[in-house]
Amino acid sequence: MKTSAPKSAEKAKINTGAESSDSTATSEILLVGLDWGTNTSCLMAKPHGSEAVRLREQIPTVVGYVPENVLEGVIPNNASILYGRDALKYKLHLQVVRPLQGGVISDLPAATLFAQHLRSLLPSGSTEVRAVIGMPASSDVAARENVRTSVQGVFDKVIFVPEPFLAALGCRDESRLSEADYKDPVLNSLYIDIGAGSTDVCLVQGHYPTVDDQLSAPFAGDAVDQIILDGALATYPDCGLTLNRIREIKEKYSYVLAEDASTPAIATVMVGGKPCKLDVTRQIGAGCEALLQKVFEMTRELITRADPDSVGELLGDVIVTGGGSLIKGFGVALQTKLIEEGFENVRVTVLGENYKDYVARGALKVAAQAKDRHWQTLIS
Amino acid sequence: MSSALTTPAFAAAPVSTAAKPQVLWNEIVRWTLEACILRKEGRETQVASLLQDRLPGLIRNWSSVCGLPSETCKQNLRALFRRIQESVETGYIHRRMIVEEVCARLTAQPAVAHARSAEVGPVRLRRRIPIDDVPGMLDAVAEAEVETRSEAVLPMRQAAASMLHLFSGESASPAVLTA
Repeated sequence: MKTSAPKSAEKAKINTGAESSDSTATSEILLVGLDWGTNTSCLMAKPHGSEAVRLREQIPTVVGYVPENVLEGVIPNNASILYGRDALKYKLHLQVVRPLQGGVISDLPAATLFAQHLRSLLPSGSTEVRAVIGMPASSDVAARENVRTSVQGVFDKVIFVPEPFLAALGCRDESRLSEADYKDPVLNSLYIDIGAGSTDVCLVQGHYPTVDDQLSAPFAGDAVDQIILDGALATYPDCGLTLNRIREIKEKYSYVLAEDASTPAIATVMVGGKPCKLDVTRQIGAGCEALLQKVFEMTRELITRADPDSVGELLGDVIVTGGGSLIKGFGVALQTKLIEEGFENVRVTVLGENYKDYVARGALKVAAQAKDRHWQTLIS
Repeated sequence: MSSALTTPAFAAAPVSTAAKPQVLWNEIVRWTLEACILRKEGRETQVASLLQDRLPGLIRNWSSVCGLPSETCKQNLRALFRRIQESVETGYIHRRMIVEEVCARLTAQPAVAHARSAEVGPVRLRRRIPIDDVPGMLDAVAEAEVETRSEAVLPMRQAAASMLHLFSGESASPAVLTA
């Protein structure tokens, strides 16, 4: 795939709120659900009016620029830019950029290129592409504007929805609502979304979370990485560890339960051209424990805000999602801390590896039910 | 912004029960106004906290030291609450009108608008929408976004700042309230 060099994103002119004179046949409209994550993005697509999902893909949110001096034939098809897994595979030869930091766009040109790459993955043949895009609960209006700008020319119409809303919708299996043994996850649950830049805790009790039902803190995966790196550098000065390397090690070895510390986390780094093995088990434990404590405190506070009559059932449905939920033993450790605090009948569920799907799936559900007035048309 | 109405500290110790009637009255004004603004912001938990924990004690203390008959106290308080509520509603409407005008002007300066938006934080729903009502949720999100932009252009507290002067000091002339 030959791609063009990065260009500055042009400013999007937005026509908001207007009812579209929708002459496009629904069969020609492609609906897209996008969870644009700091580390990984999840893209789902289906034709308007259809239930069949045509595309479901997770893509590392990475753009890799090929420097001028790379020899011909090293990069597949001599591309000038690689994306996602390809960018990670050839990262040694690339200038790798992560367009998002802390859940929001930090590099607009790279984000624009990444959005164009996402568009290239969609099934062809549609005359109009409408995307519902999840936004971190803590993102501000300026963060939305950056996303709008970067998807201009990529999607025809967009809607931005807070990610916790989409995760709640995505978790729900409407086809099973009539089953007696199905526990509807949006009736009385507490959602904990641990992302890269922020941790969001919200009550979902049959309605979308309001300002009173949510807590957000800028302490999540990125902060854990920094704690681990600081600890590692304090123990092994000049070891050359970087945040990117720490992130890789953390994703493999993260833990919060003492018994999991018996598996040593070994980071291999090159010192003076020789491989050197560093044990960072303790540092990883410290970083993950700090996150656990923060999540515990936020959860405890939100429980105290809930209607006392609802708390009993609420505690039985605490749902942890986001990248932080993949920390080994996190759900068990959080449940134990809540029980030790005096809460009864606590049950913490971790959504697991496919947590990204829930936001994108929820976004597709929103796309299917949105009225014309909700779609914001992006005009070049 | 010196004229802006700052958020009173919730953790602040209550005014002494031995405080003068005027001081207690000003506290009642301050916290009632705060409760009305918080209600417009959708912060019902904090509103409940004020109405249940902060204001009853103040009202009790003021009623016991102001030297007015019990019925007059009630009338004065009712009048105060009504006028504060009306003023906040009026301020809210005025702000919306002003903001529409300012937003239209800021369209020519999007960078300024974005910078101000970043200061006011995330978009949050201020009313409850059932999970099944996706169109209702999208309407509410759009509404909240407009409100967030409004807050960026003209903070509600700033719009309401002048109201504090309207009510503070009224207990010195209770006849004004009962008239």
